Amino acid sequence: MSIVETVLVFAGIPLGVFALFALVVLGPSAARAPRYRPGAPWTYKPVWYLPHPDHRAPVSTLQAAGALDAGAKLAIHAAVTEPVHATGGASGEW
Amino acid sequence: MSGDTGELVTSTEDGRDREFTTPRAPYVTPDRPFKPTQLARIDEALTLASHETGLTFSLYVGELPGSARQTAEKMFDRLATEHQAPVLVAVSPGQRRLEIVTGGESARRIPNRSAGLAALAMRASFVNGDLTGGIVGGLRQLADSAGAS
Repeated sequence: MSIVETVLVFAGIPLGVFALFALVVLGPSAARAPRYRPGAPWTYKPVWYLPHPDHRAPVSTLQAAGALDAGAKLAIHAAVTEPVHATGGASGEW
Repeated sequence: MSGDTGELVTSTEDGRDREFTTPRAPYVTPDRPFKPTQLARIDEALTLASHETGLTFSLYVGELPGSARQTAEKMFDRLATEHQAPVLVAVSPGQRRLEIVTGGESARRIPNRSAGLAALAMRASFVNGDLTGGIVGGLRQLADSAGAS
């Protein structure tokens, strides 16, 4: 064997195997988004989510109004008659 | 209302104004706290809960400045001007605070006791670092206690 072949076989192959195992072991956790840990600071901007408008109306309203026409989509949104204020709920800390 | 461009501004106790994003359907952008798969689960839970009950479930994740409860209630009032029978679930991971706000029809259908139980279940997941699981489970529980419309 020439020197190049020797180096490839005795150094290249072990290194390749090592790299493969390292990738298999470390890869998944490196690719994953950082997990939330209680007590860690929260650096993201606030997000505020609503259900998708196509599904806003309850099942009964959709059936009564003829499924999923424009009016049905807006059924809940359009029907606010008097302002509602917060009266109940729950709080929690962890 | 998805695609809304307005912004909600609430005053904090120390007089500073702080912006909140306007509520809208879940979406993915790079600096959001949830991965697409997590967001899909949250989206499904929100949509399903609202669809089943006829209430408008809304989820806020971020800082609740000032008094957390007061801020959450202000956000609820803002929500109630545009959406029928809202239920606000506000989670502040940085402050480790969780607020569930109901009012009007949603307060009648979700007794405070049930909201408390949902909050307890969410806490259990949050303590383990599982934000998505806690949110999805809490929404599920709130929808179950509200019952079908």
